Amino acid sequence: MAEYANLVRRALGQLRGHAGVKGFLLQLFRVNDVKVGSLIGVDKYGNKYYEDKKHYFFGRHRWVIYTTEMNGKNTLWEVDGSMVPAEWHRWLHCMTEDPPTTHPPEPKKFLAEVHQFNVSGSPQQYVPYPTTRKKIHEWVPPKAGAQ
Amino acid sequence: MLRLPTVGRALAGAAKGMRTPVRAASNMVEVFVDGKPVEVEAGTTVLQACEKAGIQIPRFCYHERLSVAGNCRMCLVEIERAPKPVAACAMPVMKGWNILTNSEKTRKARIVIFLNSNHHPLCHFQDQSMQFGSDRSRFTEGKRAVEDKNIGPLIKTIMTRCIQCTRCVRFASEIAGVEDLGTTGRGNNLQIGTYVEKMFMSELSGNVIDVCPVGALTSKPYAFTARPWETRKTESIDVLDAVGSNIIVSTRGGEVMRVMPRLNEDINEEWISDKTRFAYDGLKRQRLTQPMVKDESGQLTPTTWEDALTRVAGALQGVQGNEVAAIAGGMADAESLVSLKDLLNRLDSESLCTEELFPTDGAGTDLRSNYLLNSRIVGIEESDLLLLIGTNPRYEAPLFNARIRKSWLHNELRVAMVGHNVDLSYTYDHLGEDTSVLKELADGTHPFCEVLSAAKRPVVVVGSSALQRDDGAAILSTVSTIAQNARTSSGVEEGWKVLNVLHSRVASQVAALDLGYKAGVDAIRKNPPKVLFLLGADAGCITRADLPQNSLVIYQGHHGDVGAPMADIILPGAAYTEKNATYVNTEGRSQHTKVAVTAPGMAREDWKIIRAVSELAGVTLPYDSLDEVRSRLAEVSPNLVRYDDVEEANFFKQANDLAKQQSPVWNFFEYDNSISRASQTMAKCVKAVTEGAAAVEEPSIC
Repeated sequence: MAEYANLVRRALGQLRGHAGVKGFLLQLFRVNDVKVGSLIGVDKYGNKYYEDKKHYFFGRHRWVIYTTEMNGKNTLWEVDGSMVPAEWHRWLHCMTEDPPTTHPPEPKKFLAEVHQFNVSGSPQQYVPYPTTRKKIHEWVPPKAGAQ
Repeated sequence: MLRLPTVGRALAGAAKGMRTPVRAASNMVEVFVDGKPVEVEAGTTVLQACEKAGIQIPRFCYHERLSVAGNCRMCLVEIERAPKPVAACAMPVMKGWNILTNSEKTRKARIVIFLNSNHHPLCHFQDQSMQFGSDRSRFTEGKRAVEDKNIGPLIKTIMTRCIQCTRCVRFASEIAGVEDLGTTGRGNNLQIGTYVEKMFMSELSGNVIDVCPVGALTSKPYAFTARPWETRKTESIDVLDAVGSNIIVSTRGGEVMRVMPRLNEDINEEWISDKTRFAYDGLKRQRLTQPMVKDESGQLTPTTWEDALTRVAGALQGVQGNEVAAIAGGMADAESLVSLKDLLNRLDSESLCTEELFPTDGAGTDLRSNYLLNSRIVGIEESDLLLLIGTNPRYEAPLFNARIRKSWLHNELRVAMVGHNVDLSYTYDHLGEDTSVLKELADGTHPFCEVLSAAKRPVVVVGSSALQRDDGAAILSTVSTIAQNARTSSGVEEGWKVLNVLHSRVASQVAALDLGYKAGVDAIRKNPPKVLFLLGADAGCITRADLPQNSLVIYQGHHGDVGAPMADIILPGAAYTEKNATYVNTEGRSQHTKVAVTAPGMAREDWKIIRAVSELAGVTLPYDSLDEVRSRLAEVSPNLVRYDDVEEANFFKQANDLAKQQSPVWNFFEYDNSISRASQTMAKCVKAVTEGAAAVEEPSIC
């Protein structure tokens, strides 16, 4: 009897945490996981980061809910782990206990202003090109009217 | 320097005097090599006798074509019952000697101390050390290092590797004729170099790279670009001058890495000129790789083969007779020459010209003997008087000059020259600079005529550049008179040819004249055509100014040089390393090149392009494969397919006329064809010659 009451309490907590039944269903179909936790922070792209150490063991205690639109791509359904920027990635993977909200990252030259997610398979993908010098140099005809 | 034949003969004579008289029929001497009897001529060295027996004695300083130095002491062999080992390269054999090439004393005498560890892969020194050297070190002194000398942009020197064999010194002084290299110091401190930081300025300087047995002198442009085991070698012919030296083209991955000489006793022995050796990097620059047409604005734009060929065919269909003409350039091969001639003849045109002029009066180009080097390059070795007229063979045909120098050095050839007083690397009688000298020689009033008539085997060589002038016909007739007089007064036998023409820089001239091309573009200047076909013509003989306003110029060639910017349609062809082609050298010897690399981009072989044009123009040529083209060549002129052979030419006629006055000018020989003009190595050479070796910047590696 007490377990069922706990269950109902948890379910209601989750419904409340995801802003009602509509939000709950959106979360269910997007993320396949309806756990709730304390919101630690939001990055500038809209990804939300949560933590719950009390109810979930190490490895499942921190998670991200991705934003719906990043770098011009609609990421409602096509989410990608590479959307997490560097500073939050550090916290999310438990390399540190301090999220970037409390400990902002040192500005580094190599960090991009706008974080790019992985573009493999898309038209912007990297294609390797030769860096050796040309074997045959073609003749370039003179410009007409330059004489 | 020790002159082997004379010393050998003297010693052999002395030896023979001590023994019983040799049979009069032969002067063969019997010696024993490791017990095996071998019959050799008297005067051969121990080293040559062992080679005849099949045993190769190791040597560093000995070279068949250079004089004997005997300073490396690697060839020491023991002779039975002789007190000391003898240097095999220098000692002539005596009757009854037993040469032990592998005895205890011989092996002890053959010391190879491998002082250097960084030897280059083709190092004979390294090979011989592996074969004959000791397996452990017994070196207790200090090592030496020698500074590198700068002797030009072509030769890389790492003098620490030098073993002081003096092969390069002997080559420079004997074969190249420039006494720039020498030895400084003594003993351990002996250094080879120029001592005064001079550049090694000889047109045969690259051969020193082949001659050096270690890696002290190597090729600067080729350094670190490829390893010899990676390269594929293709035997071919050089067409950058008219001598037709035999070369080996080394390629790797579809590009030419270097050019090396091939042995051909009749033409180039085992040397090649610097231009032949180093101008290969011009094959990779300024190449025509796509057909181009001039659009409305006058700009040449790349296009497809169908477009270009249909335009050419359309233009050809609209003309008849002499409205279409062709000019053959300096590197056009016989196959493309014959297909072009067939194509134009089918369109009723006879205006096919070569760029180089040749006087057409008298015999002109009808008789082969009138435009060939009749005595052949080998024939210079048998002559005793050479008269050069209006030619500088040192830069026009360097290997011909090397042969003259060889005869001057060993066979007492006397050389006289009418023309500019240039340094030919041998001394000659300078008879004068005007054509009046020629007149006097022909009349018999010149003091030199006595020498000429006293000569037993005279040779007269007139350069084709002398015949390019306005009075070229007169010069040729005067020269043939001189030759005829010299011939009759010398009483030489029937087969000896006196008159020769040395074609200077144009490898295609003889083949074109054999096939019936007119020499010189006067025919085109007189009747300006509506369609002009340039087959690699880069000498700029005919420009747009000579042609009517709306004429069409088609350029088929491999480099964008002088002819290509002038053209309306450009058809990319293949260079000499990229096609199986036949070239005839100045002696009339027909040789063929082989494909070493494929032509770049959309370029194709020249005769195939002409065949395609003919098919589209409706006058299809009757051959489809290379063999069929060659049988057509045999139809026209059978000597063209008899490779590596020289056909004797006869009928020496002459006409008489009088001459005006002008003087021949020679340009830098590095710049006289489109491949050398595109080559950066040749540009460095020119800069080094004009401004000094230090002016050429080299990136320093190590």
